[in-house]
Amino acid sequence: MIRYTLLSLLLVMTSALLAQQTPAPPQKQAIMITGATAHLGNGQRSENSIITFENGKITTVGDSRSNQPAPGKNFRIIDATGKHLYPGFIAPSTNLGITEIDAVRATRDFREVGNINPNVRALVAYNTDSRVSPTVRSNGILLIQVTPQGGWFSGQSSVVQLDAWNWEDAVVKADDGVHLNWPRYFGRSGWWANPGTISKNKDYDQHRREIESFLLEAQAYLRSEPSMPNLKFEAMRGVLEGDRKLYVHADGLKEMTNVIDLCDRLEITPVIVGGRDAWRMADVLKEKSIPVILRKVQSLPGREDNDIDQPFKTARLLHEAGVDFCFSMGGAWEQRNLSFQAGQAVAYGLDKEAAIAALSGNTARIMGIDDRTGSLEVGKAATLFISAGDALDMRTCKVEQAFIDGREIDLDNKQKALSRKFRKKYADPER
Amino acid sequence: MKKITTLFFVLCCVGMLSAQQTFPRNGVYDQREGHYAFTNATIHPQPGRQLLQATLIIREGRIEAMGTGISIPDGAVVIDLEGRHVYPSFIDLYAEYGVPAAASIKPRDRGKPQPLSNKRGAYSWNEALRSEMATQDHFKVDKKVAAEWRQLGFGALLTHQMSGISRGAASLVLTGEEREHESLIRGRAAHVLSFRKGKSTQSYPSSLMGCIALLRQTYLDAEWYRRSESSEERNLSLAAWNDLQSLPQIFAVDDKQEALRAARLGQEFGINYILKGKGDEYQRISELQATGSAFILPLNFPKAFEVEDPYDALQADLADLKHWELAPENPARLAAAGIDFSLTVYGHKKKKDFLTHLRQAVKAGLSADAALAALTINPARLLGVEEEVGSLGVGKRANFFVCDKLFFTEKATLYQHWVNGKAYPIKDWNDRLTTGSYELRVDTQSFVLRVSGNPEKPTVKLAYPDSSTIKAKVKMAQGLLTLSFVPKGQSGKIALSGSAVDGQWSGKGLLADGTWVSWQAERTGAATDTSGKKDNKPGPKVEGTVTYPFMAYGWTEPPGAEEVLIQNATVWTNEAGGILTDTDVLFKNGKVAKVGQDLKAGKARIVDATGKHLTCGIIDEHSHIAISRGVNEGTQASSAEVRIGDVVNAEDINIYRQLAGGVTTAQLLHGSANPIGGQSALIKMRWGMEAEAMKFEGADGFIKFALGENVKQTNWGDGYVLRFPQTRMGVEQTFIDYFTRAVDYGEKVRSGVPYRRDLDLEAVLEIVESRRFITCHSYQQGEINMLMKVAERFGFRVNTFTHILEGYKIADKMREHGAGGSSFSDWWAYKYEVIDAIPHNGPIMHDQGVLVAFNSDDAEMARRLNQEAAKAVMYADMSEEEAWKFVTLNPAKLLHIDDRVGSIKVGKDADLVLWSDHPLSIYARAEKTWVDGRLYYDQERDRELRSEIQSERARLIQKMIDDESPGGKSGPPQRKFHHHYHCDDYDDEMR
Repeated sequence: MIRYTLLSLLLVMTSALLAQQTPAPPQKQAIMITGATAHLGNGQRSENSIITFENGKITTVGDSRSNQPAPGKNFRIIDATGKHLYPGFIAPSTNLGITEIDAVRATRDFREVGNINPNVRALVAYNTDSRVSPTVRSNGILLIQVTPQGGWFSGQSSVVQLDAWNWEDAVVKADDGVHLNWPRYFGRSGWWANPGTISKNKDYDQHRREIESFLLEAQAYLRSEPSMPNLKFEAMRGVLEGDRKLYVHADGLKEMTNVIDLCDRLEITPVIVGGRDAWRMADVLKEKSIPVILRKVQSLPGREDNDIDQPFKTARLLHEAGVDFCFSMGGAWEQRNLSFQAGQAVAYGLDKEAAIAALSGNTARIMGIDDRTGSLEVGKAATLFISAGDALDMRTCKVEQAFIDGREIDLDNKQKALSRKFRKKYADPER
Repeated sequence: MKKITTLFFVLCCVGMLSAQQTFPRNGVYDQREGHYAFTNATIHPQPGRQLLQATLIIREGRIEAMGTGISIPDGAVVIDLEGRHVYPSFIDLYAEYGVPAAASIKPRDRGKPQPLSNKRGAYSWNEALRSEMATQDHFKVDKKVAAEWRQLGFGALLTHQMSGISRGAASLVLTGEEREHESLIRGRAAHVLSFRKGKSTQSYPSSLMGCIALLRQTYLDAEWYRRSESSEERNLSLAAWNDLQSLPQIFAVDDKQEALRAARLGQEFGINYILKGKGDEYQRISELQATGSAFILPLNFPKAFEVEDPYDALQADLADLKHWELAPENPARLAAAGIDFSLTVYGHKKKKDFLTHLRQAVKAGLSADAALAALTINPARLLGVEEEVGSLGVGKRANFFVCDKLFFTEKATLYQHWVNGKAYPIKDWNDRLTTGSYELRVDTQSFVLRVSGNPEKPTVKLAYPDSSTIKAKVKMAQGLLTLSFVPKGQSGKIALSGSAVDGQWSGKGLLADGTWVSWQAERTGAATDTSGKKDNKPGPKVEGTVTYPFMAYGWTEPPGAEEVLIQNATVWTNEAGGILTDTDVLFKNGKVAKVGQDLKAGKARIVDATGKHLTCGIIDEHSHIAISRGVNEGTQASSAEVRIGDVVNAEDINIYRQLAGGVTTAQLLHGSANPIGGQSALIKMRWGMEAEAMKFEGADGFIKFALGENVKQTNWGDGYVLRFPQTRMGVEQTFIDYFTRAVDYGEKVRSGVPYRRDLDLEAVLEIVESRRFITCHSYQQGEINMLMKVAERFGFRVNTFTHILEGYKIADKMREHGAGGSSFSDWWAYKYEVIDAIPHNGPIMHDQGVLVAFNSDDAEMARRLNQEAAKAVMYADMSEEEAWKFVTLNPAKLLHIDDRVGSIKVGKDADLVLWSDHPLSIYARAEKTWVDGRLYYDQERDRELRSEIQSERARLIQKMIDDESPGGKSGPPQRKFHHHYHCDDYDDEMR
């Protein structure tokens, strides 16, 4: 009896394990995808395309009528006629993988104690075995920037790919930048039980100065030869020396203006994350080449007087003004809907290829990984996916195949498995 | 003249008239009659009447005679009021005077619930019900504060301690400085209620709807208590409540919508409350007028924001900018609408700002008579004390004040305030200089003086033949003049002191060299006076209009029921005909009239829909928009007594935004904090209409239930482990217990014996008797199964499981039970109980024969429910036609309104949406949305509204920048925080 119980327990565990996807082995055979409408992720589109890749890198991008693959090569050929091919979409600024179930404290690993934590690294907490991330990648989101939250300096993000055995395996770019949550100029007063009004934040100036002095002291420290290292200052080295990004989360005009002035003083170029009001100062952002990771498109206007579609059209306004921007989506599991943020912007006037670039090529450029990934270009990572229809529209989006560095990944996930399990139950009257 | 004045002040200083009869006396009797004759006054005895050169005689605190040509009786002290006005003292019905500040019984422990009152004694279970509070027991004369009131013209106040839902009996008191025994006119003058629990630290109620439910139950309990003659329990609060019912009932509300809610509550119990309003009543004037309520209006008009900084200016809401401009017109607009109102000082941080605002209101169109009435006879009538106070007439109390000008139209100065026949000086009439030219002789020197400006604060200058002037320092106080100046060509100062009466000045002075001299001055001519003109300067022009609702995107003219022919659309009928291409739809009188091809237009307006799609409106089965102050009354295991219908907020911008997403009907649900939640409201998105008019007529009643983590208080914090249930086991028992008691209650009701009406059990009984239907928040299959089994045991069915994210595991059982499912398309992983949620859930339930809807539970998602329906196609290959029904016909069926809405069919409501594209596509935009055939959203009109909002904002911001009101500005813009509620918002909104 005990043996039987143990056996069934083992069976249960095995079936649970099956719900987890196994990382794909490295690409062995060259692959050719023909006939698809290829959205290159750089603003270009190639109808009736041909794309080849081997050893994880793209080797051909072109029109299938004019480009014939090198003869003699043993390609695995995928006919994608009538379908759409996209570079893997990249989700910036997410806590996917460092939270599993938000309401369960044991699974929350994205917020450290204190306000100044530039030294903490999301990468080491990143869980490659999350049950959530397979539901995200099966919608074509293949890379994410796993990002800590909270405080002023919440820590360092890393760019990872979503098909890995462990966090070292997953790295696309480790510790790509430090995230700074700029205080709000206008904030909500009162507390949860007695909400006040949205009014000027009395602490704004003090908090701003504390952040400013931390950065200035870090800069001075880095010019000196300290006898004893200060971990927090050391963590700013990459940012202040220009080879790591400073992601500043800010939405309002005054906040962004303060951020830009401070960064000018520090002689660095920030990345604005959020940028709700960025369209109102798009000319400044363009002039200073400050990119924007735009907050969720499908959100409510910040104020009741605003145009009711303001968040829907902000991306178009930034694009028209020539600001470098990409899309983002708050939260973890919600990343599966990232591409629809782009679709919504297209519905409100953004050029479709520009929208796709803002899910891929722009995102890679903003995070400093465009030398290796983000768009369908020769020499870049073969991280891409095929959808039966327009992937920006839920009516037509059907992700059929996806590749990360040329490896064809398993698009199954826990949710699909559960669906099959119960469909099977209902199909079989015996059950 | 001078003699009389002196006498008058002496009189003020001694005890006077009707000394307290019951008190022992010490020393020699000095009882006086307080017999005075005021002559030559302009008397304003009541609004609309004015007596010139009149006489007023008072004696023993009462008016003995008033009129012209009255002979002065012997024994009366004569006071000549030549050039002065006499007004009856004002009355404020909403004051907190002479009572201690309210305090909590025990400090609140925020981390823990407090299920019962902390008050000792046989009082109400609820700490906010303080009907036993008797202001008169606590009243104490406060001389300092009384003086402040008198200076504003107030002689009587209805005072109470401003804390609680029932605040007990307010007292009408005088603002004199006599003992409480003389100052208390009516110890129990009114019952005051509110929608705020004040200093109560008890958990219940935590929402506005809970507060309304508590009041409703209290009316019933009090009636039961009266009938049962307290045989079952002693309840001092209920006994006191019953005693209060014969008094005037004053209800303090926080805005115009609350005013309507209070008025409706009153109507249920045959009570016409006097409503202490907010000052925004002009924004819903006709609905408020229809309630027949009298109002107490505050005049604390908002100050201008500091909007010089355009970034800051962005922060201001149009609603607040507009209100800033229009608020001073509120009293005038209410007067024009024939609404009975009184005025209150309440709301002013500095009481004296009241007078500034009062005159501002008069300048904005309120007549002086109406203003006087609102401060005198109206409040007196509402309290039934018009024979005592509120006007001047024989036999009434001698409560009046004396001022120098017309009080409401000019900047009058108060000189004396007489309360209860007792004088309280404010300013000495003689401390003023008659303006004009004077000839001043100081010893041997002679000067010409010019006295100009305000007689109380005059400017005095030495005038020389060469038209040069030198300013003199001047002061009038205690009937004495002090004057100093340095004459032209001299270096030393001449300082003079003396008396100044009617243009005759004289006294002694000191020259620069120390010589003590005599001096005199005589008035030689009138002044070329320029004072007083400022008062008549018109204020800045008011160009704002009232929109409905009073905010951005409000309309001035409501959309009318159109007759429209939509031509050549792809029509998603949701009927047997399916999706019809190149089809016309005609609607009129709010209903679909014809569906077909090549229809004749007749009188109808033609809308060309070539290449476009026409659908019925989207129905959101699970919404929490448009709810005021709290979505959860989750403090008890059941809150079946609370009703979202009591708190529909017609001014939520999300109504408009969702119209632009094609939504025409929404079920507004209570949250999911407790197993048995509150009663739902079903609304049509009739943007701009008042809350009652938004409700879906004749719809069946629904109620929210909930299961799982929320009702177990899993994520509420460590202090929340006291309320039953804390497990899914306990949740089942809660239901069984309530249903058992409800059945028993039903038997009691039918038995004919007297019983206590219990609104909680009454609603649960309706469920058991299938007269009210459940929408149950649910996630895991086990608990879903449990509730179905419990329902079956009691012989009814669960109408709808909402969220129902594990419905796919148990769809066959749901079908057998007859429950529908209203779900999310793809939400999951946000808490433990949703780890098995899948986006295939809706389609699997649908395939198993369960009636399935997709809902929002979210103000943002609700504006793109068409996209959520499309996710059923994306994840589970559903047919587009069936997926579309997830957000239209199926929720209509779940809500029992599919006879009216949910498809395009002749005779059904013309709730229609014209889409630019395939309605399941992310690229589709709603171009026009009709509700009842009225065009509530139109993309073109929306564009116009945006530019109107921009220009109106710009105009008002300019005006604010230019504003030079005496009170200054309030600081950078602030705006209201608008809560976007979800199921699990437990915020205490009642404090």
